[in-house]
Amino acid sequence: MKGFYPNTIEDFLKFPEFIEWVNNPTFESNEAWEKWCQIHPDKIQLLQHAKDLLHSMQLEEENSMGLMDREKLLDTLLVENSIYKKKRIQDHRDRLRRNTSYWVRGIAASLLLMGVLILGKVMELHENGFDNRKLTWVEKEVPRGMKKVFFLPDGTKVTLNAGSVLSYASNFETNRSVKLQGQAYFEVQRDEEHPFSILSGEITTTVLGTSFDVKAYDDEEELHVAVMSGKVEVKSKKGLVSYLEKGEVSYYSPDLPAMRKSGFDYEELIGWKDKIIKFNQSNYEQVFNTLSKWYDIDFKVDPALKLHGKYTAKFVNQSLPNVLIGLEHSSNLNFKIKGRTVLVSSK
Amino acid sequence: MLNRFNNNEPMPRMTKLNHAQPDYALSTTSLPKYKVKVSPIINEEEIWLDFVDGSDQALKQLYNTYVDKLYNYGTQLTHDRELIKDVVHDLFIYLVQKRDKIKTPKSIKFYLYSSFRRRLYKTLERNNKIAYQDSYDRQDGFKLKVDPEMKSIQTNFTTNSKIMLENASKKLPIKQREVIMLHFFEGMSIKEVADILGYSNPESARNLLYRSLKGLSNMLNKHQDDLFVSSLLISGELFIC
Repeated sequence: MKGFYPNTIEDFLKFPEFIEWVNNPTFESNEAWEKWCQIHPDKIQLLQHAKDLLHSMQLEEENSMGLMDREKLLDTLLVENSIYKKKRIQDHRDRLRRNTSYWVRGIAASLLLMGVLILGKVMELHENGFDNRKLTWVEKEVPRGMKKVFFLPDGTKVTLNAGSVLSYASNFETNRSVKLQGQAYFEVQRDEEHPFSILSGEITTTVLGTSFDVKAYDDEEELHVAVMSGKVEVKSKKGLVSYLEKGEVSYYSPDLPAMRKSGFDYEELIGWKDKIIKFNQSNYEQVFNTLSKWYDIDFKVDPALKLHGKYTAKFVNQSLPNVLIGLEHSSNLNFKIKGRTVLVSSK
Repeated sequence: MLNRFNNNEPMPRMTKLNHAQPDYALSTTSLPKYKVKVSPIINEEEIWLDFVDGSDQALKQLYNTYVDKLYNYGTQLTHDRELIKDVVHDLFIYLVQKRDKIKTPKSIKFYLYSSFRRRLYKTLERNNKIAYQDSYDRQDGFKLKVDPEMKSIQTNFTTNSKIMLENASKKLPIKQREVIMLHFFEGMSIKEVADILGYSNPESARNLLYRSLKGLSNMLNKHQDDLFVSSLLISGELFIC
């Protein structure tokens, strides 16, 4: 990134390495840009804005081919594929036949046998994958530092929190089932004939029509389902079940595994929807984890430092520096923003 | 306890406390950085080789990754959806039948986009829909918008800058909008964009990109000013209990 001195968003958009990074981040490019941020701390905000702009721009029209046509063409291609495979085996056999030596024929026979076995395996895979073949998945993804509000085909409203992915299959209208990795708030459209279910990690949440919050990040120990209205069933893979009503939350720890039910504080669990960050007796790991997703940053903790104690605070629509000042005041920690990394040491 | 801070000077407070820097080399937290996309195609070359080998799985993967993208690209270039379907169809059939004769492409995406556009244009020319390679059958394709679903926590898109972007993009010539789509959204390099548009010199594509950014610059500047103002206005209460 030599010779790159951006002064405007435009300068970022003109820089091929930047475009490449935003579209296709790799571990190397992440590292390179983090370093760049450390050298140019005054440009971080501009970089963030350019990145956000690219993330939120899209084509006004997005057209897709339609399920029927898509499947028809794929079927044609799969038929062609089996013809191609047969032809390849035939070619192979012809080539071998030209060879007269006896032992080559022996090898050819065994190769052919192997080929048939492999083909059999492939066919078997094909058959196993039959059900999946008819389904295509729609995926909604939100990077760290962003949130997204959208509607599912049945009218259910979803608010997706930072660093989360929600996906549903093309047969959603008849099978209201979604997969969630991360955190989302659902306002489910009522339809008693088609229960709505959410698969997140080890737990499945099933409802008819209610509002509730599900948090299930891969990198966090505890999952939760918190209900704002209606009734919800929460089930773990290992058979634990919990029925929740308005104002109740179920916490689940896959490691134990245990499910516990209690009441909850709206702002603490669902406040994220309204730009509220609230910690209630949270340990520092949880605090750093939440903030790193919220602001798209990483914390680096001085290895000599022992983090202990619980933290309680509330921030409404605050910038990262302000939140860190708050943290500094009520702890014995010292924060330093360096690029997209926050260094943590003791006071 | 209730504390209020003057929001205009948070940084000095932060730096004041910076003393000797400890060694962070062994630090333990740090989640995976800015999430590395788990793209459906992990190793393009491997997928291609599997595909040439006749794997159904690899074929499905290629097809599912690109069929909608190519179709959508086509719909930006012409209104004739039946024709687009035919071209997508022919392209994939060609791939499946001739795959052992095709040289392993460096980038499958680039290979598909450029072959698709070339085929589509040939067909459009044959049907007298366009006069020559440089024209467009559809004049209002590739329009941009700011995704209303995306809410950035750090960047506020004012309604104003949204409308400005959308209006500015409508005023850009269609070719410049196509460059924006290929480069910004699909992540094609300038050289690849030039190839797709049929330019022998990549500079022509770069010029188009720069011109389109110039066309958007009013919006970008306004947006930048808005951001500056809103970052000064960020206030609100800070409670520490």
